[in-house]
This record gives sequence, structure tokens and C-alpha cells, in this order.
Amino acid sequence: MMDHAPILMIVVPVFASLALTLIGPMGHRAAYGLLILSVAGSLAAAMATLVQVVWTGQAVHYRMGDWVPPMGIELVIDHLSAGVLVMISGCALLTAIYSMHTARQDNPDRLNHYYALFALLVAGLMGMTATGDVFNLYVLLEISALSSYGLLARGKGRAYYATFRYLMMGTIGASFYLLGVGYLYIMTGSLNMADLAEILKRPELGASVNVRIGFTLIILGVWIKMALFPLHAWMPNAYSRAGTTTACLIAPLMTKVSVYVMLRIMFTVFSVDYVFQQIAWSRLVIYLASAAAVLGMITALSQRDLRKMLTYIIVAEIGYLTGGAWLANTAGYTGAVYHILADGLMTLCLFMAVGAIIYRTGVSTSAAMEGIFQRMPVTAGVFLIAAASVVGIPPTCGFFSKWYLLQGAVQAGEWVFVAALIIAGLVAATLFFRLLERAFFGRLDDPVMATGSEEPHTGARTIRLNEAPLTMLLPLVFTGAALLGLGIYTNEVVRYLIRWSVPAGM
Amino acid sequence: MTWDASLLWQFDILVLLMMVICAVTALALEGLLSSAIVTGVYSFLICLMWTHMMAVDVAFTEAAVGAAISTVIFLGTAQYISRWIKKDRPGEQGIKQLTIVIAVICAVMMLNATRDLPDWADPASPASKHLSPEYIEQAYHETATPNVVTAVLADYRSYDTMFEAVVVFAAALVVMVLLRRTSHKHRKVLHLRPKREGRDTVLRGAAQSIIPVMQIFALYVLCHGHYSPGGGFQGGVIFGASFILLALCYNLKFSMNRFREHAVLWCCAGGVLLYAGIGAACLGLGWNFLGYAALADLLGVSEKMARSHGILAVEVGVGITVMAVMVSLYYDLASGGDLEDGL
Amino acid sequence: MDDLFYFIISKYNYWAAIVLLFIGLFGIIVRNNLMKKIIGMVIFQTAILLFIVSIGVKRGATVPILKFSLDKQPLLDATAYANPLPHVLILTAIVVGVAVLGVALALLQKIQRVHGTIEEDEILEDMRK
Repeated sequence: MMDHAPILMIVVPVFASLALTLIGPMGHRAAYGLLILSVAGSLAAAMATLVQVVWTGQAVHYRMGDWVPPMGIELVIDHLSAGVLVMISGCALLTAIYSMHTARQDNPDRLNHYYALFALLVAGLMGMTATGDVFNLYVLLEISALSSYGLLARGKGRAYYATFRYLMMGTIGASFYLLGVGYLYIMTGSLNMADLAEILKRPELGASVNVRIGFTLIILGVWIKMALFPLHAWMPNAYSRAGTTTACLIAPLMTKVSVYVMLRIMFTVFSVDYVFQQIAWSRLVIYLASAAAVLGMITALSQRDLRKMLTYIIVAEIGYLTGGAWLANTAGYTGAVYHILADGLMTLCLFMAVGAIIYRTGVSTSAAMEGIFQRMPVTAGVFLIAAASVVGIPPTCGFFSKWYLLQGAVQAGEWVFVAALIIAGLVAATLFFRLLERAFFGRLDDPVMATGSEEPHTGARTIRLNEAPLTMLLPLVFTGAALLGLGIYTNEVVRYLIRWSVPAGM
Repeated sequence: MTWDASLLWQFDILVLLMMVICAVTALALEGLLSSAIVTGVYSFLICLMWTHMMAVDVAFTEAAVGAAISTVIFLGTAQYISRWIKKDRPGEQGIKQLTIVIAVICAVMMLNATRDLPDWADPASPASKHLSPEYIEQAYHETATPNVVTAVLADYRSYDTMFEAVVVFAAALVVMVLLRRTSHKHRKVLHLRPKREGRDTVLRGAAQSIIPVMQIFALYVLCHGHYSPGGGFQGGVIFGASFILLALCYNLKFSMNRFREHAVLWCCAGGVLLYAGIGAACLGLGWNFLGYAALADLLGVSEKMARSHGILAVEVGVGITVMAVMVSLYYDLASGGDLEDGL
Repeated sequence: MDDLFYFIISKYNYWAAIVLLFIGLFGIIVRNNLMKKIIGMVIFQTAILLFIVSIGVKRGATVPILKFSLDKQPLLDATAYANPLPHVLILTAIVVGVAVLGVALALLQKIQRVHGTIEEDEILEDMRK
């Protein structure tokens, strides 16, 4: 059974989604239970694979149909993918547990179909991360995209146009990726990642303009899916109008997996030498990333709607990730990979906390934060931890990822990126300080916000504790603890996992 | 320099020119119905190109899926949207013109780079020398399937094909989740059509003669995919198209009485379940996922024949799913979700 | 002149694919009407597929279905058959394309229902209210 863990973690959610489509009459509880079981199974398989990779120090290969690559397709799970796989299934499981109330609220009539799309998205993301074949990645990219369109369109009425824009941009991105794969195929004749890496080492291909076009197209396609500035326009509308559960599932994961794909293509298929010597515009990417970080945070500052603010924070975080990857040194790369894990958790935590607040108060602007510390102390506490992580305060994981990124930027002499990181951190601090001030010292006599009853004699309103339900609270607290845990155990994570995945030649 | 007369370049250039004209026309026309039809013509022309390029399986699929089904769902959707486009206002032209300039520059760069690409139809190009000779030489020995495309699709790269089936399933699910409202709410439909009762003689005659033949042909295409162009996708699409033809000639309710929406859903999921189930069975029998040789002991045949049978079984699964998905897409899109009245 | 002629003949397929690609991209970005954007998307995707299938063509080759000699042995000369791998990729890509088309058209119907129009500028005005 353990030998087959790589395929099980992808196929179990597929089976679950098929079952969920057909069990209509069985009811909400059964659907919820089935979803949790399948995602938990996927997580177990991912963790088993992670343990195996770290223990043996080598990548796990799994051949489909027992065909030898490059004739057949194989799954390759190395140190980089193993960590990302555990993050995907872990975040999905936490969101699935969290979703009990909100999913039912958003989808009273079609809960099992909603969960079927949820499971398909998880399967698609896991498959994208585990595969070792560039065309297979395209197919799974489209599965994740299609399920996410379905999930996002179940938001409020205005979500349809935002989803349509997302569909257009997503299809352009995936098609650019496919065209890039086509260019690579025409010049090399192979689709398997390891095989491509071998063939691309030949000098005549290294200098070929069509290989460069192929690389550019693939990276451009991935950037569109990643929402890197200035291609990010589709994201804030699409994510902010989605239902709570959808936002918690998609926002942390889809962009991070696209960053993973970028790292794969840059360093496994092509090599460090190729990217930084043959590609003329590799230094410009750092400027783009710096712009993303600063502009993302500043735009977040000006937003009223809580969820839109969070999506602009994601735009900024993607800027950090891209900059770290293109810095061309080990510290930057380590920062980028660590930040994939850290940012997934941070974004999940923020979206879950905000989702709980919106669920209880029914308001989605920053006015919802009024007096939150009195009414929902645990939620507010976890929100505080997540905010500290975004700003970069130790011992949360956000501090360590910023540390590595700054170290890498200084080593590479990219002062623009250093400045961008510092400015973005300051803007984030301002943003969260404002919100938390409202949360602590909010105007308690605001008639919209007070949920207490009025005392007949004194006329003073008492604020009753109105904490989020348990199924929302437990995953939230767990995520907050994980943020701290990841930070405290940074050294172990870097030493046993990330150091081994640094590509040769950095 | 000699030119080999086996490639009819005159034909190619003519068809490609017609395709460019169709593409530009489809985008420029004012009426949306005409644009949909011209897009169908474009798909037919590309299908012709592919037949000429000896990519017959691809041409088959494009003809069935791209030219037929796409046009039908375009027309089905056109009932519910406004039919004419507005003239572009001169307001936000700035950024669009900038995009055009960037696009033209990129196009010129890419066209310039084609100098470096291997010559078209060169048998010594890297793509033709690297992997494909092994496929052509070994496919028959290992899978007993003369149609190499089917062998690669359903055996060597069957993991991809499984997820392709999942993609169509996901599409049917998403369209159903988006559109279907079978509760009777009053909806403002932009275009009210009189219900056809199926009394039209020509349509009824055509349906009665064509549809049974179509269905048998679909089953033939599915089963004969090992030996001739065809396979699961093409057979499934033709079978689904037969139900759509039924709905077009009579009306939607008539077709739905024969293939109810919950049966459609069961078939959508059932085909994928068959595919993944075979993969899991191979897993259970000790081989890797989708390693059909595991079925050799179960079926009592050699490994080579087990793979051939495995290919047939997964093609059947794909065919069932694709058939149900095409029907489901038509039901949802052509009726606007209320499943009352179609095209 | 002979050189130029040969150059055109050896590359025209790629040129056509690139030209169609940019026509499709133009449709998606510039056209205001959402249905035209979808048509542009269809043209864009099929142009990419044309490019990839062009890779598999071989002069003098036939369809990749093995021919048999009179004594039931397959004729296995690899240069006599077209390259099957791009065909497999494109089969998958066509089906993925129609799946995305179906979802796009469903969204289009919903947008018409909610906003009453499918012109982008009118929708944006409607969203601002």
C-alpha cells in the first residue's frame, strides 16, 4: 500500500468526487463526512511520501502502467514536491473541516456537488505537484481551473462576471503554457521532465531562440495563473466575491501551486545556468516582483472590504515569492520555498479568521472588526498571530521567510528588492495596526455591531461572547499554532527538506 | 533544390488562407448567430487541414467535438443572450491599442524565430527521431493494437486520458451546478419559442432513419478503435450527438424521456468510475496503477492481449462519460437550465 | 527566388498558426462583447493545436495505423508513419477546449440573466452601481 501512496493521494479524491456526485439523497452529513475522509486519506498518503523522501534522501518515482519513462508517464516526488503536497492536502483538510456551516449556508441545494468540485480541485492540485511530465501538468492544470470556476461562480450574484474574467485569463495562461510545451517538444521531442533536462543540456539547444521562446511562453503562462503584477487584475474580484469556503480553499493554494510549477520549470527542466545566463530579462523580474510587493500592499491599505484587502496581500506575497526565486542564490531560493509553505498557512489563517468574523457578524467590510476582541476572542487572537506573520514578527514563520529573502537580496546586491521588502512590511504593519486598533478599542455603542441585549434599568448594552462555531474554531486555532510551529522549527525544515531541493549550480 | 510532390502545398495554403479569413470574419461580424456559424466553418476547415496532415484521429475528434458540438452549444446559448453586438465606443481605446502594438511586435518576433524551427514535414526533425519511432515499433508487440494513436492514448499515456475524462466530467458538473434550476421559478427568457410537437414530417423521417444508424456507427467506432481511426472519444461523441439530434428533431422533453437527467449524471460519473476502477483493480492485483498486464491472470490471456482488452475497457469508460457529458451540456445550455425547452 | 520559395514552403504552416494565434488573442483582449471574446478564445486554442499537430507531419508518411504485409506481419518502418505523439496530445487538448467552452457559455448565460447585457462596458457600469 505504501508503495502506491503517490498515486493514492491523487486518485482517492477523484473517487470521492464521483461518489459525492451520485449520493444526492444521502444528505449533508454524509457528504461532509465523505469529503473529510477522502482529503484525510490524501493527506496521509502525502505525509507517508514525505517521510519516505526525507528518510531515504531520494526522490520517489512512480511509473504509471509500469511503462519506463519517457515512454510512459511517471510521478516524481522530491523534496520540493513532498513539502508542497503536504501543505496542499493539509490546507484542504482544514478548510473541509471548517466548511460545515459556511458551505451549507452558501449552497443549500447542491452541497454534495459543491463538495465534489472541492475534491476534484484537491485532486487536480495534488496531481499538478506530483507529476513528472509537462503535458500531464497541463491536463491537471485545466482540471484545477475548471473546478475552481465552478466553485467561484457559486458566490454572490456578481461573481459571474468576475469568474468569466478569471476563465478568460486562466485559459490564456494555460494555452501559453501549452504553446511553450509545444515549442519545447518541437525542438527536443520529449515530454518527460527529466528527459527534457538531459536533452536541453546540449549546447545547440541552449542557444536556440525557439527554446527561449518556449521558456518565455511557459513562464508567462504560469505568471498569469500566479497573478504576478501586472497580470493580477483578475484575482481580487474573483476571490473577494466567492463564498467563504471557496475563498479559504482556493486563495492559499492555487497561486502557490503555480509558483511551484514555475520553480519546477526553471530549475528541474531548465537549469540555473540557463535561466540566469541565457535569458536576457531575468534581472528585470526582480523589479517586477518588487513592484508587486509594494503596490500590492499599498492597494490593500486602501480597501474597505476585508476579503479584497486579503487578496491584495496575496498579490504582494506572490511578489516576494517571485523575487526570491529569481534572485539566483541559495538564500533567496530557500526563502522562496519556505515562503510557499509559510504563505499557504498565513493566507489560510487570515481567510478563515475573516470568514468566521463575516459569518458571525454578517458584514464584510472592515467595520466588522469593531470590538472583535470582546466578542470573538479566540478568532481575534489567531488573527493577531496571522497578522504578525504577514508583517514579519518572530517567532512566526513570516519573520523567517522575510529573513531568508532579505539575506538573499543583500547577497545578490538587489537593493530595489530589499527596499521593497522593507516598505511592504511597514505598509502591512500600518494596515494591520489600524484593523487591530478597531478590533481592540472598537466603538461598542455602534447599534449595528452590538449583539448584546439592552439592560432595562441602565440602558447599557452588554456584549455577549459570540464566538465562531467549533468546527470553524478548531481548524483556525490549529492553523495559528502551525504558523508558530513552522516558525519555531524553521531550522529543521530547512535542514531536512529545503536544503536538499536547492538546484545544482546556485 | 527539389520539392517533394507528395505534399500538396497549394491545397494547404488555400485552406489556411480560408481559415484566416474565417477567423477574422467570425470576430468582425455584428450578428452573433452568424459568428457562431462562421466559427463552425473554421472548425471544419481546420479538420480538413488535419486530415491532409494525416492526423485522422484528431480530425475525427475535431469534426465531432469542435465543429458539431461547439456549434450546437453556441446556437443553444444564443437563444438566451442579445443577438447583436454594440458598436465599440471610442472611450477606452488607449490601452487596447497599446496591447495591439505589443501583440504585433511579439508576432513579428515569433515569425522571425520560425527560421530556426525544423522544416515542416522533415522526417529527421528531433520530434520525429526521439520518442515516436519507439512507439511505432513497439506498440504492436506490446499491446496488439495496430492503431498506434489508440495504443499511446489508452495505454502508454492512459493516466493523461483518465484525467481528460475527469475534465469533461468536471465540465458537465460545473455547467449543471451553474445553470440547472429545476424548481419552477418564473424566468424572463429573452426569446420565446413555440413548442414543436414533432409533427414535422421531414424532421421526423430524418430522425428515424439517421439516429439508429448513428448509434450503431458510434458503437462501431468505439470497438474498432484498435484497427481504424476512432476510439472512445469519437464513438462517445457520436452517440451523444444522436441524442442531441433527437432533441433537435422532436423536442427536448422527447429526448429527455429516453435519456433522463439522472441517468445522464450516472453515466457521466460511471464512465470515469469504470476507468479509475480498472486502474485501481490493476493496483489491487499487484501492478502499478493502470498497468493492464495485471489483468492477464484474471482474464486468462497473455499480457499482450490483456493490454489490448484493457485498452478496450478504458475506451468504453471514456465513451460512456463523453456521451453523457455531451448530452448533459446540451440539456443545460440549450434549455437555459430549466430543462423545459431546447433549441 | 528559389530560396525564398523553398523558405515559404517549409514554414508556412507555422506562420499560419502564429497569425491565427494573434488573431484569437486580439479577439479576446480587444472585443467588447463577451461572446466575441469566447469566439476569440476558440480561435486562439485551435491555432495552438494546429501548431502542435504540424510538428508531427512527415513527408511521404501516412496515418499512424500499422499496415500489415500479406502474411499478417506488421510493417514497422518508423519513417512511413506520421508521428503519433502530437496526435495524442491534441486529442486531449481538443476535449479540454470544448469543456472550457461549455463552462464559458454557461457563465455567459448567467451573466445575461444577472446583468441584462453581455457588453463588457455595460456590465462594468452595472457592477459599479
